Amino acid sequence: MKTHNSGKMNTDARIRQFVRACRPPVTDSAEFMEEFTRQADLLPVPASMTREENLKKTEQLCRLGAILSRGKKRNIAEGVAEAVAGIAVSILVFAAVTMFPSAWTEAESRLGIMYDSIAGTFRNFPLLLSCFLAVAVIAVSFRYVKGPGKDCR
Amino acid sequence: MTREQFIASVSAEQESLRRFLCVLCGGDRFMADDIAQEALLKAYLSFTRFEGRSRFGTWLFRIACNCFYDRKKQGASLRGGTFADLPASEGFSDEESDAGFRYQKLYAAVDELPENEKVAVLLFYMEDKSVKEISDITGMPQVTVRSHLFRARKHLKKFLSDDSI
Repeated sequence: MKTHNSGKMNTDARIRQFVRACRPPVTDSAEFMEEFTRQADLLPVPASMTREENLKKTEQLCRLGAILSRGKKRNIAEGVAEAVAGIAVSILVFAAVTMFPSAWTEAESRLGIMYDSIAGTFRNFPLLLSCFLAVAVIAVSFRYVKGPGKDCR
Repeated sequence: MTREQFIASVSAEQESLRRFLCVLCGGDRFMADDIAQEALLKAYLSFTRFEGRSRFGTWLFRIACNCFYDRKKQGASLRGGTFADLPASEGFSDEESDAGFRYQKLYAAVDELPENEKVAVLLFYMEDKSVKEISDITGMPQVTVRSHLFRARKHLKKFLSDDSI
């Protein structure tokens, strides 16, 4: 049974066959392209096609990224060094105080009320040190930045 | 895309583009090539505006269609007639005229169609473009393209049945 769709497809196929059979051939493609290239040569090269310029811009951006990255790395290193120095000084003070108990007792008599607070500080030294370390780690992690983009590699 | 890549892409598309324009111009090969050159140079200069949302070929056909309509308007205002008033064999050498005669049937078949239907039919049947691509090229909605194709199909069916008698 011939349906409406099959009739349409039949007409479609006939038209396509007719158009294909009667379409004019294109022969002088080489001459046409030669002429097009000649005319295009007379025109300025569009900005979007100047690959060299794009490469130059990418290179400049990469250089800028590298400078920024170096600066940020230096900042992180300085931050870490300051934190380590602070911790080292704190440990040295703690060690000095615990190694010389006579100074400790002298301090008790000389300082009076202030002694309690200073002694409390030293008793809680491990806790204070861990808090200080945690703050240092958080501060350093905030300062961490990615290096230049993948185009620069 | 570099200049060389652009030229290579144009080289791949130019044949179908010129054939389409040739039939659209009623067989005037010189006029068709002139419009094709103009369209390709326009594409070359405005390549920055190619967003890559459609295929490169579709974009070229769209520019070519616009150039054709512009030329048609200019021609009509200069000659005071229509673009189709040109004799079909204009621009052919003697040798080409003989060969061109064989294609007169196609020119005659699409000649009576309105411009939009002619464009839709040629793109659909001759260049195998989809309805969506034709819509992108002509700027018409897909429904309009379908209705143009429907009407043109009816006309061509009649032409082919008259021709076979």
